[in-house]
Amino acid sequence: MSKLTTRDLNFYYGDFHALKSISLEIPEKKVTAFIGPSGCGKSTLLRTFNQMFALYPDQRATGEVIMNGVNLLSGKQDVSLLRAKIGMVFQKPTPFPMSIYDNIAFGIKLYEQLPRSELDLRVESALTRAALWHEVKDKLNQSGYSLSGGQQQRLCIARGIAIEPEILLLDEPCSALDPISTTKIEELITELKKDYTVVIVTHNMQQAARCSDFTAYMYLGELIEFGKTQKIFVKPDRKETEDYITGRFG
Amino acid sequence: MSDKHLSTYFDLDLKQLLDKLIFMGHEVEQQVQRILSALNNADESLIEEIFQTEQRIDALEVEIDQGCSQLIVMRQPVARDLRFVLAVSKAVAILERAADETIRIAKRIRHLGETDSIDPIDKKNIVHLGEMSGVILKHALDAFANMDVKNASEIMLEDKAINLEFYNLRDGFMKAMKENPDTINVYLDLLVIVKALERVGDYAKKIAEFIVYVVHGTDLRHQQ
Repeated sequence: MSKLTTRDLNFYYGDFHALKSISLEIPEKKVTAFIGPSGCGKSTLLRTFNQMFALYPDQRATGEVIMNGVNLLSGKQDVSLLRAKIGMVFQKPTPFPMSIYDNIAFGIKLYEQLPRSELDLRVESALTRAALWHEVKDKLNQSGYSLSGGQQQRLCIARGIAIEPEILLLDEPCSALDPISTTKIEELITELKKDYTVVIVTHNMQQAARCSDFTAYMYLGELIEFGKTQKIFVKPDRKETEDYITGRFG
Repeated sequence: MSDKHLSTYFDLDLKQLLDKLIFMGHEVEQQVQRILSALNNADESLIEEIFQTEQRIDALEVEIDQGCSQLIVMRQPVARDLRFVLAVSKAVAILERAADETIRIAKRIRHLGETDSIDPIDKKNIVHLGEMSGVILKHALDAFANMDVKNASEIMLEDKAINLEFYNLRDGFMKAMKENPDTINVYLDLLVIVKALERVGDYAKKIAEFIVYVVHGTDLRHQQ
């Protein structure tokens, strides 16, 4: 079942046509990976889902991005509420300059008024689901910056899921992390799909193969192929996909 | 787009794997030729050579399989490259089994002792079947080296012809045993020999199936 659908989605950076008529369906409670060479539009596509581009006046999207039957590009959506439903984690960990506890509580307080005891439970739950609770439970008042890079990234994931989004967007979440932290994040991604629809942009094809259920290969702003990850990495339909994933891309 | 990888070392690793597989296949082909000569001449030194070559073939199987493991670890192949490495790994096992068939035949030839005990017409027919098996094996290896799907299809037809030849010989042997029970000892050995030669054809066909798997991703095993 599709959680998010794009239909004839086009995106422009000023005059530059960055996404060309993208139509795809992101399955619910599955991990979908976007792969492709730099500049192919995968991060741009991710950013249209939660309208990150709305911050920049010369950027615009046409077509449809449909979630729960509503076209998110119609302009009728409250962007702030939309981003509560579609959380995002970036390449570089971006903890807020505040305590570990407040990093999680901050987002919750924006959307909900909760008594302290309930807030505590929500913070613990988010950190537990992000596989970070046992590492930070005794130092919740320390700064988020005191954590290692891998822990900071899991903190950002915890912050994202604390407000209970429906979709979690991960833009190269492991590219700045060591292999151990990467493994923890990858395990976490697999756990997260029980509750969330996860979309991940990655340059690491082994990561896409390991973590995702579906893979989309993009090139020069076009969606070349979309299908089950197992099929894409064993026998893709398109030669362009095979050339890219086997390293024949030149 | 290019058929070559961005990494020339990756191309080199794949080529080395293929070269070793073809070399091993050539060794097995020669084993089949030695078997046919041994059938004609009952040459004990030839039989001894077959046993010694078998050890080299076993060692090659291990070496190529290790090469496959190493390539998987170092390059993490996917798609066509992954299918190729899997096919090579399976093809070496198949070739080793084909070589085992030649050992089975060599033992039977020893058991038969003086091959003059074989009816000359039977011997001629067995050698003919063996030549067919040698040819199909060569065709399969050539097709694998070039990933030639068209020839792979023809090899499957060749195997059918070998099977037919085997059934004809088997029926003839059974008839001869019924007519003259004194020949049972000889014909039981000959049955093992023709069955082993027919198996070599089957193995060649399996190698041809791997070509289709590598090129098209279609698994033809256990399909009619």
